[in-house]
Amino acid sequence: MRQLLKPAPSIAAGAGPFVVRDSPEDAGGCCVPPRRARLGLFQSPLSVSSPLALGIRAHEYGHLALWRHKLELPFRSIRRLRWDGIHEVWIQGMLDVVVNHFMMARGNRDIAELVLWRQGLCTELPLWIAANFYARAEGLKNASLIRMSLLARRADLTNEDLEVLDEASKRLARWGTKMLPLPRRAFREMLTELQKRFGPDSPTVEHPLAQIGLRIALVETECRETDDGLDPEDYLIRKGASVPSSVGHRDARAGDGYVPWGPMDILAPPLTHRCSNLPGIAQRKMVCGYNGAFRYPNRALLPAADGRAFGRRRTRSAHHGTLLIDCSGSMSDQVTHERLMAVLKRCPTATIGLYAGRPANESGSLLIAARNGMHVAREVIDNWAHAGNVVDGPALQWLSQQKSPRIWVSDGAVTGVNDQTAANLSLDVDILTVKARIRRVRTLSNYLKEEEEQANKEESKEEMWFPDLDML
Amino acid sequence: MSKANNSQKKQWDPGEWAGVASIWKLAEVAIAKLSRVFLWGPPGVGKSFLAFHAGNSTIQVTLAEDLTVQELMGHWVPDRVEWHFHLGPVCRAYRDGSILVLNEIGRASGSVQDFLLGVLDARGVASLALPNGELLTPAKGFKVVGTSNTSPEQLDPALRSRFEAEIHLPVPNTALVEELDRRCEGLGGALADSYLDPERALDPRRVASFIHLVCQAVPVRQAAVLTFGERAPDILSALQARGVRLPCDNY
Repeated sequence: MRQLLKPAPSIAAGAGPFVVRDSPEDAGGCCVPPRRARLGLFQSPLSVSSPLALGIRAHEYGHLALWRHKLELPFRSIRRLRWDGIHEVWIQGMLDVVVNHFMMARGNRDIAELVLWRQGLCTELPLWIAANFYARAEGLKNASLIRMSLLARRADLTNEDLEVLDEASKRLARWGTKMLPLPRRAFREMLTELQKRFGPDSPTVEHPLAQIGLRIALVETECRETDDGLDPEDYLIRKGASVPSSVGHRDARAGDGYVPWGPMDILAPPLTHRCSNLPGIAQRKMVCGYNGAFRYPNRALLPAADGRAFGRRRTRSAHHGTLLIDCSGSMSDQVTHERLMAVLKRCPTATIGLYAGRPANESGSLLIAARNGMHVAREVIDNWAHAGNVVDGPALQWLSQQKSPRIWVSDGAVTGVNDQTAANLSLDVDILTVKARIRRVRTLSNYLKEEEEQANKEESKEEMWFPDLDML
Repeated sequence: MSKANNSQKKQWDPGEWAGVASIWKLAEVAIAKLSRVFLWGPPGVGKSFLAFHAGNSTIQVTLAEDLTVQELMGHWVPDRVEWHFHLGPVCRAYRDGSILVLNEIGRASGSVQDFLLGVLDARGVASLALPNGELLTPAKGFKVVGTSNTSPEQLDPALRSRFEAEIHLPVPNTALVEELDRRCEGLGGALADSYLDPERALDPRRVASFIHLVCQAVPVRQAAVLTFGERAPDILSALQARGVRLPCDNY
């Protein structure tokens, strides 16, 4: 899996923090500036750096910057446009022209790479879609190609129509380029005229080609409407399918609607076994330095050596934070007593929590398997009943209150009551992992491998630079 | 600054509450008036810089797990037929009354942290017995400034309690922001605002390198790729959207 890029929305918006979400290129992007204690949202294609993805991201930065400079239309004006029966595709499409030119005026070249469709155009294109796309193509790299394609499909766009569209798009471009606040009345008159001329007749008419832009635009504008405090997350959840899933969670987000987390019990059985009794735990390594036994005379005698001629034994450094392990059905083969002992051998003082749903999948439990250098007996883990996920959210909440560094061993699939999945669960998990700085590792084997690599790295650092005797 | 930006700061700003322009001013006051101060915050914000420039005589040591007590306190060194005791940086600062800056104090080994317990003792009871029989007491002006990227909760409680003040510096030094703004209008503000979203904040060192390259006539895109790597297109787009004007004004 490719690592997601880290965008920088707070620079453009002058506000933060943001929830950042990946979306496929086809789905475009969307953003919501932060308000009061609410997080902002920045959703764009972050797993690819194609010209289109760069263009979409630049476009979203443009929206945030316009919001920062108070150049965008206030929501009241947009609501008035809707009341006046203006179709959303005209409102958002024309606002996008302003944003594109705002960014181009500031020297951004990526924005010109935006495309208006990817899967080809149908032969019968409604007039209002053709006219809308014609205007939106203004300033884009492939504007002439886009317009030729549209004209090839709609013969009934007359020369006079094209003049009207050219005039409108140039006016919008001028507002963006000169960074002027959008004049509300002029903008409304323009949209009214365009819709009257090209359609659609009703503001509720839909078309597949208009969907992406509309869906994105809705998030951006309606979220601002709810000054009574609707989270962008809440809004996206209510909108359900309009939230493209992030990479790696695609399957888990198939469900729509709202599913609650199951109630979770924390089981803290007596920790009866000492981790210090594990075989190999007392292993210590030799470290060179300036005190201890005189073990490395070469380092003292050779003029080019570093002088660290003395050696002492030191216990291995280890992870001292908290490990939360998902033991649900998809992960249950990952967790065995032997593997847990392997983890404890490496990190004897770590706190380890195991969680999963109970067999009925209506509630779940979190079992504290190790803490402060002590661990539970094998029988406790063997007899602990577990089934689905159900309590990922409460378990992560528990993890967020434990000592850092916090590691979550899970495949990323999360479910709520009855082992059902929904967008709100994934969103909760995303927010928790970001806020509590929780690092997710896919499997326990991966975690052990990473820890081993870290230990090897530390050991190689210990050896440091030392002159090659053959070279001297 | 925008309205939303102000609303975000409604969280509790200790600097604002204390009536100073920023928490960095408080840190300056603490270093000037106290003798044992702990500064912590994300890397690159200017903690060590502030401590290092707090006085004329400063000794800076970056602690690591492998650093031994002998390297800090001092050790015997051969000189022909004799052995001399060579004072380490801590003892030199102790003796000369310098400001001792201990970077990454949380990464010190257990033995070094134990040694620092004695160093950080209050003036009335502090003394260091050296292996050569000498007994050092802190000279006038001796101060310790510890810095770390992790919170003081990660420190040993005894060590933590010896610091007179703990100051969290979550945003870049205002002096650095002003300097960046002087070199490139708006860049300092962009850096400061990036810390409103700490997970995706810019590294101040990288920003400084970026503007350094741009001022040396390296094309902006090349400079961005060199300093920000994969984040370069996003950061440039965000800077453009913000209206940051780079010296060559050519993105």
